[in-house]
Amino acid sequence: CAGEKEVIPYIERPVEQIYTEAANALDNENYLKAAALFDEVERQHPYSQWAVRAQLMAAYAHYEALRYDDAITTLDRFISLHPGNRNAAYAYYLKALCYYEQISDVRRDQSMTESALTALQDVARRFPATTYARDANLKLDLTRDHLAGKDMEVGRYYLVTGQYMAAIKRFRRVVDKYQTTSHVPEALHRLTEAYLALGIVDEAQASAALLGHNYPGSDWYQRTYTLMTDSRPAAERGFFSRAWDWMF
Amino acid sequence: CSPIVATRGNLTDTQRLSEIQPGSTSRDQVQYLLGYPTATGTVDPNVWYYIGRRTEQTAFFQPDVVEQRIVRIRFDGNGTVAALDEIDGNAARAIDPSEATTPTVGHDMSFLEQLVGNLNRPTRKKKDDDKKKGGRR
Amino acid sequence: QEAFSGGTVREIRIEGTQRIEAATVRSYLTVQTGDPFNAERIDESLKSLFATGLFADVTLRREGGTLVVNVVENPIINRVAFEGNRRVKTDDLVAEVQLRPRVVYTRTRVQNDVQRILEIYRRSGRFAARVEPKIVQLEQNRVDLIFEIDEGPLTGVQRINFINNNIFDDSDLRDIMLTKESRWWRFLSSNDTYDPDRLNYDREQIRRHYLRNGYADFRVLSMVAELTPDREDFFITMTVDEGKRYKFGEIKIQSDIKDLDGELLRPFILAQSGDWYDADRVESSINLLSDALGDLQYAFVEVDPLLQRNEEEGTIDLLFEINQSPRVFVERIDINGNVRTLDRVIRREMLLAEGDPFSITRVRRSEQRIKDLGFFEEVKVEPKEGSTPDQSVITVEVSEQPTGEIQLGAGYSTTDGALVDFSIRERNLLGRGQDLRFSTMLSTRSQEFDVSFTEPYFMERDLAVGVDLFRVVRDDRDTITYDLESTGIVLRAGYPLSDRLRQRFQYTLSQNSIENVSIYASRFIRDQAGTTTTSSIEQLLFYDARNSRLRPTDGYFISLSNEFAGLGGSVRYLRNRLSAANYWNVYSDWVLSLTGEVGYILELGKDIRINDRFFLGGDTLRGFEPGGVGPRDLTNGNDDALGGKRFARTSLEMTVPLGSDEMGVLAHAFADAGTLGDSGLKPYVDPTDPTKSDVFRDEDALRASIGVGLSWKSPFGPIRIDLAMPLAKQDYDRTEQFRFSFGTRFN
Repeated sequence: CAGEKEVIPYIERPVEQIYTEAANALDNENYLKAAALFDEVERQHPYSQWAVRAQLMAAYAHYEALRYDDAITTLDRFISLHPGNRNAAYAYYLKALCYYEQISDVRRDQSMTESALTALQDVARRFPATTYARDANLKLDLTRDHLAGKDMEVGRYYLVTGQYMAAIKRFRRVVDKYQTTSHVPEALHRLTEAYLALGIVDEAQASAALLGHNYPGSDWYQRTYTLMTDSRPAAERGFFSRAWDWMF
Repeated sequence: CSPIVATRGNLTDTQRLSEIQPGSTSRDQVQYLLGYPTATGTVDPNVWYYIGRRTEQTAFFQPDVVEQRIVRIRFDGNGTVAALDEIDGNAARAIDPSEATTPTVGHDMSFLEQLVGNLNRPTRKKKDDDKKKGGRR
Repeated sequence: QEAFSGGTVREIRIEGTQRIEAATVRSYLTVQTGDPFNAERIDESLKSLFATGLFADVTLRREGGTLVVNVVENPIINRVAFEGNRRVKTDDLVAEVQLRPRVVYTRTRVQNDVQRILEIYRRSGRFAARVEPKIVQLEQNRVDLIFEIDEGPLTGVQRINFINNNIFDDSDLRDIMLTKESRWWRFLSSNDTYDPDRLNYDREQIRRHYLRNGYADFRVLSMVAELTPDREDFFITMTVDEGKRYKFGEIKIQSDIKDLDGELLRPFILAQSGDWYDADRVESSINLLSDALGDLQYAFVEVDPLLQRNEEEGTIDLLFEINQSPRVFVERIDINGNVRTLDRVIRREMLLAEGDPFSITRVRRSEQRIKDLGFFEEVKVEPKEGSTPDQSVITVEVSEQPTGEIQLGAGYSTTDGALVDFSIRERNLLGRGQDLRFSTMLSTRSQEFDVSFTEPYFMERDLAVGVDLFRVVRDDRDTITYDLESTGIVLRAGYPLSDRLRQRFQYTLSQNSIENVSIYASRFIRDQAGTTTTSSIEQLLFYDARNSRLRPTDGYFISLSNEFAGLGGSVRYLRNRLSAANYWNVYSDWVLSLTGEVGYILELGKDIRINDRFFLGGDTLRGFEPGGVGPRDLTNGNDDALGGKRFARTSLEMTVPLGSDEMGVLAHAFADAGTLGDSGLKPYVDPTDPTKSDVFRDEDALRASIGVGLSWKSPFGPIRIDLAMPLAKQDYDRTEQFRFSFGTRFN
């Protein structure tokens, strides 16, 4: 797998020597070695002012080496030991990045997305004036968008398998809970589809109107418009197409 | 061989439905009698829908709907039932859900990665800006 | 010591900080400059500073207007080491202990870690273990932490005895218990070590045993475990109060649901009045009743049993009350933990959808369906209350296990010599629930290749669709005297007909050729030379009432398959096969299984080619080589198995787990029996000169064998060894005493 944890022989050395060696390792992108060496600085010389800096550099090295869990534990310790440190904002931000980078695609477990959401909110709330907060807010939108994407995925599954009531509940959740995300137009279109399939025409019209009113330019409105105007009633379908639907 | 029978959604039973009187029954009484509504109006929250179906499915064929009831209950300003009606299903449309989906980001697992095994080493995610904004597709 | 009251704090001075910044200490103080001096607030600051766990000692004093905060920082741990741990590996200890290098050392954390280490030893049955933490002071306020461990002996169970049990004597009750008295011959099992959880489990087993036999009032008064002075063993004494033995009195069903007459549910109640009272039967009756009600579409219904004891007659009256349960609907189904499997692959196994009426039987059955996928180590489906009391949120918590398998099997048989089979399979391809398998079997005389792909839910419907490609080349000289080559494709589709009954249709198109038949070969084989194409359609009905597909311990299954070859192609026959198996959970998790199978091929105007006939042996009849029994042509010295049109076989097998569950070692004892006959060929008999006529054997003789086996789910993969000894055999049969297979598992 991704390279065993770097094992550094335990020999007491002056702090400057270890620190510079670690910094060089970081420069030539040997992140695992850099992380281990920065940890060594903190272990052998915990009270030197290098130690505080080394802790943060170790976390950054772990992050670059994509060893997110180690980075997060080091950052947590930094935050609990030095809450007042001027780099605390960066520590919170780096921790949020660690979760953010592990977000998996919408069809799978979203626990990473949820932790990214809380970590990003932490950054935005604690350090509003910093550049970190600005980037955190941008990423917050994308994280919320991602969670909405998960609900859409489940909704589409229910819609395709003909469980219209379950689909309606899921798409309503997107419309109510994630109004600012990019999924709302599609959610409204799907609601129209589900209500039409059940024959609740005026609710379908209500959803279509809402979509038209708020997102007139979106492709989804085009699709809803064509759906509302010329879809065939369920009963009138020819025998063959009904049989085909019945089969597949 | 018996088909697989399933009750989907909230199939209201006639006896409980008859206890709801427009003009007197309150929102909480409706919820007590029929349970939580399957859906409320997308725009008008004072409209409750109770949608229920009994389906029978044989083998892999589309489950055919044996019984379906859609009950719509409208409430007036202060939460008492204003009107109650049932929607029959023959206005139903044949819909073919559109294939398009709103794009999302997130690391998808490649075949090789599954074979090689250690999955928890995600590759660096694409930068955020290459995730297209809005529903443009 | 100036008093803390009166005057304002003009300045706060922090002394003694080395690593932690003064600003950090100041942030934990509740008193700020400018506040009045007030003893209570000062005390609060003291507590909050201690609560951080960063400081060994904190003192606050007042010098005029300045509040002086003097702290002594806790040392930082440089290294953590363990000495004296032989039974438990250091890595396990490191994982369990909270203190790590570079973490702040506090006395409380060390004590907690000592307890954690002791807990590990208790769990592995060593109650006499002792742990001493030692500190080595280093410069710059750093310490090395060493845990000195004295593991002590394995604490066993010397004696288990019972007080005032007169219905069942001590040895009966000891048999029921998992915990056994320490004896030298129990070295393999760990059941003779003292484990309080296992003892509580035993206590419950004994209670259920009494309840199963009519002692409704049975109670365990006390269970005491004393440690012997040398701390090596425990004495366990259990005092019980058995009470009277009861019979079932009147059994009534009362339903307060409109248009549901209780009596029509009578057949689902297993208890009959007059039988001895049995708590298990009451419980299974409840399950049967609620299942039946679920199937009758009564969504919101509960079954509550009311027991009425009448002491004098010694009977218990039973009233099954069926009443309306609150109308609860499923608000949402959340699926977590699926790092690799797609959400819909799990969601489609749920028998409930969002918005459906809530039913606990469907939740339980859904959990079993997800487990049967075989993708997960652990599956927990738990309903919780939703946003309103009449809604429920169901969370499905899964933890995935490797679903890729590399299977490497090696067999040894008296004739074929060593053969190796290798297969690589991914049962959850890309998390989409699809199954892709490539397998090959290579031996000195035959090569087989097989690629198979299955999509269990085609077009999101419960329709399993699959395709197999196969190629078999058999050119072994000394057992069968011809080269057999067959290549083909199979298209299959399977779907459920009802909850437990599934049907599968399968179309096979294959080309088989028999060439360079040796001149010594049996005459029958020689005239089979040439190439044929088979084009057949097969239907398979499968009724599955087992409690689990992966490791059934209860229930049964029946399967019927009929294959018609003759949709074109050069071969015509109707091959039928009926098989069934029943499983009994004999005792705790000992499983007895009985399987039976019969097969018959109906000729449809054309003779049946050898490779379309049934063969028996190997896995289907242990103790005999594949194709080792049945019709055989022995003329002039060769020994060709000809296969048969009719066969029957049965197998009785007892599987017993050895040691604790995680070890996964199972012992098997089995008895197989079977017969294969009716080759449909007529031997040439020369009336004048017997030596010229064929030496041809085709009797319906019964073959039987008994044997033992050991299977172990080792960390590398499943290993199975079978030793079988044929009991009844014909002189011309070919035996195979030893079969071994070993497979590794990869993520």
